[in-house]
Amino acid sequence: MAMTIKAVCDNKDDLVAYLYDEVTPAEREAIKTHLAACAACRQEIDDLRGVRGRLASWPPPEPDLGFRVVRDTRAPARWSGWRAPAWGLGLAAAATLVLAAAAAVANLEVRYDEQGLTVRTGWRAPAAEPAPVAAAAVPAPTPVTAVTGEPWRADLQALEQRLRREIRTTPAQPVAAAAAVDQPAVLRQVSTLISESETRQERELALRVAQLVRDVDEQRRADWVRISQGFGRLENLTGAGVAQQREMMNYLMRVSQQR
Amino acid sequence: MAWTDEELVARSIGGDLDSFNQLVVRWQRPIYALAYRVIGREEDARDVCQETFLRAFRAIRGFKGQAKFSSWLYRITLNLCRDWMRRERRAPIAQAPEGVDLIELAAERDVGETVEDLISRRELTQAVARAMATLPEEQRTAIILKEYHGLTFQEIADLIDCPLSTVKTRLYQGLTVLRRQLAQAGIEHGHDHQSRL
Repeated sequence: MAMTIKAVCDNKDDLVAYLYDEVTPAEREAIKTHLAACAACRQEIDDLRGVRGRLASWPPPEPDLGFRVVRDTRAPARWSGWRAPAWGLGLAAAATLVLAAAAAVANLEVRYDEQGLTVRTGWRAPAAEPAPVAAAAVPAPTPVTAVTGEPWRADLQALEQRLRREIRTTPAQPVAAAAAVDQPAVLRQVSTLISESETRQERELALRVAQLVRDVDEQRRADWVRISQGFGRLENLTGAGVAQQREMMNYLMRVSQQR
Repeated sequence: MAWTDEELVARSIGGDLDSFNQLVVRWQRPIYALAYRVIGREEDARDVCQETFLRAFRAIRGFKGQAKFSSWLYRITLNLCRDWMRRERRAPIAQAPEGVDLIELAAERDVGETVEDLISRRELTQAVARAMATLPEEQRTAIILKEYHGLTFQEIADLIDCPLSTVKTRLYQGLTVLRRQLAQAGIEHGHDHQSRL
């Protein structure tokens, strides 16, 4: 290959090919000859070799890589590795579910109006406290109209009543070991236990809700006091400004009258 | 006797899961290293590495052996890295120098290496990583494939779908920029590559 000095100087690809030794023997010899005569190219190739030497000092980290593919009976194959599980999403969903269930069980009703924050909890019959005046003025509402705003409540009640009826009417399944047991007595006992447990939970929840309402109310009052004080300060500042302005006007009037 | 990549690929296509896992074990470190050097983040490099093998596993039946298995993996990895950079809209991260923990350093020392030498080595590593992070993606990729994975010009050209001369140009330009960056960082020439004149 005829490789002139100018060709190598102008063609850096040849220099790179020589640097990485991806040249034919003839090319190698030609470039060597050129480098022996060209100080600039010689310097450049030395510099590039120096850079390559420095690049060798950049090792990647050595993590614990444990990939493997495993076969699953439910799917053709699945991946088993260390990818972070989606537990965060599951946890959030679980938390939401718990909150929703708690609100549903407690039959919570939160309202904020001119009366302040009101939190009511359930175990009170829906629409069981009609105002005496309203009751007198308005015909007694049918169950459907009574729950117009909350149709799910009627559905829930209907479902509950149906379930209770079915439970009552469902004959007890014969159990060999239970033949000697007094089933009505056991049922009564279980019922009593459940009832006591519900009562305890009601009291505890009512206590906690009352605490919450009290805390929120106190915070609201404190906020109101702070706002009132802020307005008071603003009024004082405004009053002082007006007085200052009036004093200035009086001074100007006096000065103008003197002239 | 160890199976070749081609043999393991053929067995994998035939449904032999163990053969594919042997390929995984064989290639996971180079693939991780490639991903790490391209995108510069350990955790993301692990994700890219895992995704590379997952995609390879799903597509293994379509691999006809027109290229080396490793080149096929590299191509998948580079595509994933490109996706990552596009998604994250950022250049590779050159991690900032960390505080020096002498005990940790002592544990990392090579035989016969002083703590001072080790600190210098770490500084050099960080300087190189920072300099590499400044390169345009195509130059960085060419240098990584050439320097750390030993691919030929032609293999790189095939992998990134560009002419051979473009690969050489990118290498030259990238090395030139690195030389300038390292000089600015006060890094003198290395002595690993002896002049072969």
